[in-house]
Amino acid sequence: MSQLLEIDRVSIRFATGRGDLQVVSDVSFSIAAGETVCLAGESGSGKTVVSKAVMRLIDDENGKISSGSIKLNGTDIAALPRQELRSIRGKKAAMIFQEPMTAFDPVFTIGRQITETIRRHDRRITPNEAHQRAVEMLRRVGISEPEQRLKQYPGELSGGMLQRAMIAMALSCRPELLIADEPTTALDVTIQAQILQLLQELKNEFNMSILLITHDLGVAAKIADRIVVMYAGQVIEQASTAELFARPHHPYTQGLLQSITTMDSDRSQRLFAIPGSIPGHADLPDGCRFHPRCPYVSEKCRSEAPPLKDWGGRQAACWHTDRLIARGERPPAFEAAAAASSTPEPADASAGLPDDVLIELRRVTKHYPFGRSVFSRKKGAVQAVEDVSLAIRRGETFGLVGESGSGKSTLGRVLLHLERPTSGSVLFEGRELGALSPAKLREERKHMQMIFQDPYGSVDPRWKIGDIVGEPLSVHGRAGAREKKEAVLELLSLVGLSPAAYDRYPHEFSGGQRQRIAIARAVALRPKFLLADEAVSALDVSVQAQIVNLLSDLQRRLNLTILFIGHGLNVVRYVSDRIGVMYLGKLVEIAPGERLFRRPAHHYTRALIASIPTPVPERQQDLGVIHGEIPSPAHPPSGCRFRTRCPAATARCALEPPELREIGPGHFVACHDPAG
Amino acid sequence: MREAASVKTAWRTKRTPTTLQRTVPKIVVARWMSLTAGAVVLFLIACALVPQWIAPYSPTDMQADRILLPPGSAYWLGTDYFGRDVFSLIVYGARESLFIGFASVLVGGVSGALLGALSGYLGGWVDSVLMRIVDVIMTIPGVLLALAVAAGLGPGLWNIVLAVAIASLPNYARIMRGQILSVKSRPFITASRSIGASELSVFVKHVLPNSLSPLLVMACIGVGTSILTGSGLSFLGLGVLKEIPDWGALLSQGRGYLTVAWWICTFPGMAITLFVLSVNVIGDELRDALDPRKRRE
Repeated sequence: MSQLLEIDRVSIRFATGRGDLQVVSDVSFSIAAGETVCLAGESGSGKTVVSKAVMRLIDDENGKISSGSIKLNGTDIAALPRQELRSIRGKKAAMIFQEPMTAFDPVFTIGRQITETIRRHDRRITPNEAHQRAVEMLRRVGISEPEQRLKQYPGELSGGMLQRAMIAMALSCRPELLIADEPTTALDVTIQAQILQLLQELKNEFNMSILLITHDLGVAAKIADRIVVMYAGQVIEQASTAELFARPHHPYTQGLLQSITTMDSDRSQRLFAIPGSIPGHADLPDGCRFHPRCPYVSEKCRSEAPPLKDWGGRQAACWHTDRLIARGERPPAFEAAAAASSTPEPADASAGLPDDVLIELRRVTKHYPFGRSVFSRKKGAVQAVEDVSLAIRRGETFGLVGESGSGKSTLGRVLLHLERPTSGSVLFEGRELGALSPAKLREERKHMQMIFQDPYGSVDPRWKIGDIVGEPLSVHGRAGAREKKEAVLELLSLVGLSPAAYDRYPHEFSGGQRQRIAIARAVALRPKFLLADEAVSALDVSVQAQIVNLLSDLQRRLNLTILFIGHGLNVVRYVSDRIGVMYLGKLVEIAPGERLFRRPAHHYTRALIASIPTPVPERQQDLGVIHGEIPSPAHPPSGCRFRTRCPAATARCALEPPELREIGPGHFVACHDPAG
Repeated sequence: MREAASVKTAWRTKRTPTTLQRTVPKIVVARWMSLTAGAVVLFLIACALVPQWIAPYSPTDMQADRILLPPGSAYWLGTDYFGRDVFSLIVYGARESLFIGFASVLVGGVSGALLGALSGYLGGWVDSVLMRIVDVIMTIPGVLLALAVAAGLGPGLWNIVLAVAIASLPNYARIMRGQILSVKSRPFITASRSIGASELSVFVKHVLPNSLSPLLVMACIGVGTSILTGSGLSFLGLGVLKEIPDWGALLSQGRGYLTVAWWICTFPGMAITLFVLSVNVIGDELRDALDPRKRRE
């Protein structure tokens, strides 16, 4: 196979206020025609920078390719004058981005943006032909009524739809290379599965190569032929997908693979986590850049950087690859995977718990009215949560899953009474929160705390860590300054932070560390109930495991009850005793965690589980992808809200909304015709 | 972010410097621009406080034998048509100009910020009513508004300050309201509420400090524009008629002589420009110094 893209010893520097920063060092890899190569790594590894360098987009961000060459079809992009770049961008290589919502210009129609792209590269095409081609492309990427869609503005389409349109636009000039930068990260699992499948089909049809940038090895396993792993600006390993998963040659890759929470992770064991976090580009460690986090570290690793060495058709940059291979073991995660399929269904621990309810929702509904202004034509309400009843028992972890737009976060906020329900009531230890006076409610908040998704936004950037963690203590008027400081220091050590953090500001910490800060603050008042709203979704895989472990430790030590909201089904399965599945404001299934995954009854739950990419290449089954997208909560379908996407929908589903009913011990489902 | 990741290793290797230790070297090695700006502002403030120590001549001293002398060794910035020393006039004029500049920003900025903050934080009808009032004020050009207010109140230093303050108030209110609205919706505000903090403490401890920095920058620019507006008013005869003119009055008096004696209005103009520039530089420094994310070497 001829090489389409050859990246040869490329280093990239960025000019910053504090001098030049080398962000990528000596990266080499190539992509053959028709091949899918995945560039994997955590945030800060430099993978996105490399992908942008291929299009020379870094020029606009004060970046420059300081050495090496990037050859696309033999043309060295690194040496190309700026004017000639336009002939490459879009025409030979095209890019799709992580946030489809922001990648389109909101003030032009989709059609105008696509036809413009087509005509920019070939002036001979008439506007009419360009329009025809745009219609064809949209149809090809699976958008229904393409003529209509072309007339719409980006804001009128959903995320999944926009990502399809983005792909259509990228492919409209028949590029030879498609660069996809985290194309599915911002999307729901069900949509992610659809997009990945689409990319796979299009690759064959258009005979192009794909450079996929992702942090999710599950996604990589699904569509990549080869995987290049980056760490702190360097390539540390590259191998074919099967080889990489079967036998990683670098401790970092091994660690990454092990820290993925899979459908088979043993709930009784702690998750594997790589200690520490990725170093900043400004102060990289000497020698091997991974050595401070590496279990195989030796004296040599500290002083000398290992070169990228050939290991029979694959490469790894480690002094100890031979030791890794000699041990000859498959990483433990995979052993567990092999073992789990044969173990009998464990007795449900939660079934034996006393029915001691800590927090209860009674027929809670939350509507957001819109269109109340004089000028709006449409009036109505977004039905975010519709008639949900739920009881969470003391000491359990209840998981809540669903696509975005399912109302799970709203439910969480209503539960804490950060928002008042439109109807229905929330009972905490038997007291109705809605009936309490504001002062009483504030008092009650001591017992219920929350951890947010975004570890950057949820702490005040102007406060020191000590004050942030101590704020709940001051608010509830406990103790003097000295006692408070002692308490805060204790909390910091509880979540694994150094006491030195006390006088520092949030920006000095990484995402994982900030999430620890948020957790320390949340448990400061020894609450009974903790709401973790997507608390680990924004974190890197290796850090995610650290935080999940911390949460389970704390739950045991402090006897917490946790509501864990997440879209990462694997993680939710790992942490939760019971799981609830939400769809379009309705709770459609509740079951003990293990049981839900082994015997999902609702067709939506089945689809959700099927959509999870498995990080084991051999086990890639053709997924039972559900079609379409979640409808607007302002106009939910009649009867069963899932019927528009349900493979088993009947006439009855359109007429009669199904009620939750018990089909097994602790297993409730709202479906007229449950599966299995 | 990038530096953040290394914190863990830093703990092990070196002692954490305190905030003071990190700030002091910064002051010492501060860029020359901030130093110059600081020097200019200090000098002008000194002029305002003790002009008699700085000015070589009395500003009221008119001498027929030195009319319209160009800048030279005896009269550094030349003399005007009355035979007064331009440099001494500028030094003595600083008091009035600086007072109008600072006082009107203080009055306009504080009251504007308060209105904007109330409006943004409370929302609802309070917001609607306050913002419509601000909108109405905004439709009238600033100078015209100041003129009307000054004319209504009659001449006088405080009335000028008030006129300029009212004219600048809507801008502060708008900016503050926008800031409050955006800060209000950030997760750490919800986070604070979720631990049971009262509305007042959320507002004072979180919303306000995070909303102030653009206002600070605007206030610095505002000092300059206020001096100019104040000057405009005194040019139109609504200022205080005194024997010592402020910078704006100097500027307008010298205008007629621009072709024969450029120095009469050029130097007061430069004084205004220099002062405004310096205050802006200091404003930027101040904003950075107040932001913990930038408070590092």
